[in-house]
Amino acid sequence: MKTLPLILRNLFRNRRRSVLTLLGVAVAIFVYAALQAAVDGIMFPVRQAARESVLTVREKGRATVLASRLPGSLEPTLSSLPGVAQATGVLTDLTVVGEKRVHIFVHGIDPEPYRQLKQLHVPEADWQKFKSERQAALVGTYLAQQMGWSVGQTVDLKVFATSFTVAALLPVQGSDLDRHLLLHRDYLQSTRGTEGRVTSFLVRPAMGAQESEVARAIDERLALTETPSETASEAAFAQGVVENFMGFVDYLRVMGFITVLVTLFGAANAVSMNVRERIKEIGVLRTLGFTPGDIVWLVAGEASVLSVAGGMLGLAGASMALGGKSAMLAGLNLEMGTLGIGLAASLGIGLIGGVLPALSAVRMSVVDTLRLVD
Amino acid sequence: MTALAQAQGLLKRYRKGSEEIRPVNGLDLTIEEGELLAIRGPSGSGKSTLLHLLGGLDRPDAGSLVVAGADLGKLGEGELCRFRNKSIGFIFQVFHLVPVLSALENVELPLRLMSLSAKRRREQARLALELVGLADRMTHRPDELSGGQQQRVAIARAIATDPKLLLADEPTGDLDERSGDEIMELFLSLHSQHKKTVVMVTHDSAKAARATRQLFFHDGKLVAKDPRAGAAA
Repeated sequence: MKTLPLILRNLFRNRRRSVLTLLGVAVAIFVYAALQAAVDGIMFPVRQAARESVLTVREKGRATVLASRLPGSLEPTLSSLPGVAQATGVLTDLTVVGEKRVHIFVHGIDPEPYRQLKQLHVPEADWQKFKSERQAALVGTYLAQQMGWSVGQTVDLKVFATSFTVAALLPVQGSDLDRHLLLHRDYLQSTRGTEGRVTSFLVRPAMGAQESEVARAIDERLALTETPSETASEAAFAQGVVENFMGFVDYLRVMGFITVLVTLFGAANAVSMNVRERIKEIGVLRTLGFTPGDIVWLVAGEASVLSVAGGMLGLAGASMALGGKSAMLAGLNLEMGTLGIGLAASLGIGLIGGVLPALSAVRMSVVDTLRLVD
Repeated sequence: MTALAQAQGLLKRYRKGSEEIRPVNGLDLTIEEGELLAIRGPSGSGKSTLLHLLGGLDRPDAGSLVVAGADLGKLGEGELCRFRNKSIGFIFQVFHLVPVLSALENVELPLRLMSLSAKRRREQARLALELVGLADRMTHRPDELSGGQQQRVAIARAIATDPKLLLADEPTGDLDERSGDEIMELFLSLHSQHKKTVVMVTHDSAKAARATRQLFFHDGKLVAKDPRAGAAA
């Protein structure tokens, strides 16, 4: 606290340098946040799926769930297998809607089993409204905002030959259903002409059952049927999808780290210049009784205030540019953790960039700094 | 009178290439409390080195040095910092004020290291500035003050903590004659009216003559007579 007023005043000593340092940190933290948002956008499905202990059963040899076709009649067979607590068939389709050509996933579900299996937290009144109307839909909050859909509105998806009434919004923002549309399975089957068929089964293993064991048992049971299956956890399935991007993800992470490192050097250089110019003044402060620790705190404090201010500016810019709805659609996902790490990184840039020049300043004897005066 | 500082066999040496230089070489000195001591000598004779030793900015290589009850050769770095803050007030030839701070804030700097409330700190800084005749310049920054006024602020900063010993290194060297005389009057006033002990290094024989005692540097030691003039001080 004793050096705080001096820290704040010194920030305005060389305004141009201070502003350039601040902007440098701001741009670096913005770039870091942008790269991390891209990483998190790619990894989003994996992380969401990892939270749930649910297996996905789909037709063997199909590249995606969308291409999979399984008989809905397998549901009792799967439910009765050892280690299976619950199974429910889902018909999933993908369509493009609106002028913005937003891609949405439409799931045809059997309401009660699906609710239990996915542990949906929908208010009871909303749930009853959805359950009681065949053409009712549950819509992800984010999707509804994007499309401008409201509760009670009837939507006609001409391109999908389906119309539905929005019964309620799914209140779990940030979940994997936030951008999805849930319809009654039998209604979706009738509009798609796929009665009796589903694209996948969701299976919850019983308590204590090994996911891999249950998956193997399912695939073994269906191996000799007309539709052999391929079963994996949702997390593993999602991981498989993003596996091809992992090289790119690593590249983005390295680039983010390099950006922060380069900024650290830049900030350290700016602070070094400040210290060099004020070496005599630092010597005089020591004649007044300032300890080496006080001097280090003074210099590192200045650098940190500047750097954190730059970091906050960069993060504010990132929140505005990358945290919006359109950014999410573009595959970017700016998480709170990224903002926290960005802030910590900016503080780290300031502390490390400030401490090193400060240490070199206090290593010089007071008398030597005063001789520089003479 | 009580001795405020006492040096015995004080030695300070450093190397310049292959040559060993001894700016302070077996020096004995006693500074009485309340005296105004002027030290003269040619450039590079060791005057500033002695001030640095007295102020705890440098450590002696041999001999003993006790200032305000502190054996400076035995103090650690932290203790030396506290000693400088509480017992010593430095005044330099080129003022050395912090340019981004006002006169009042500059004077407050050493007080920030003491356990004082903000109100008490500010009050003490105001008093020091009033004492040097700058009551109407407290909010001015150094670049808005004349050289003489800046040196007054530096003196206010040096006396703000009420130190036992003021060490002034050529305090009038960068000032015109009139400003220099005013600063000298201020030192005389601090000495006579406020009983401050002052050690002042100066080249100016007229100003040195107004001190209570003059000493001359010669071969790393202090002598009572100017060896160049051969006359009594």
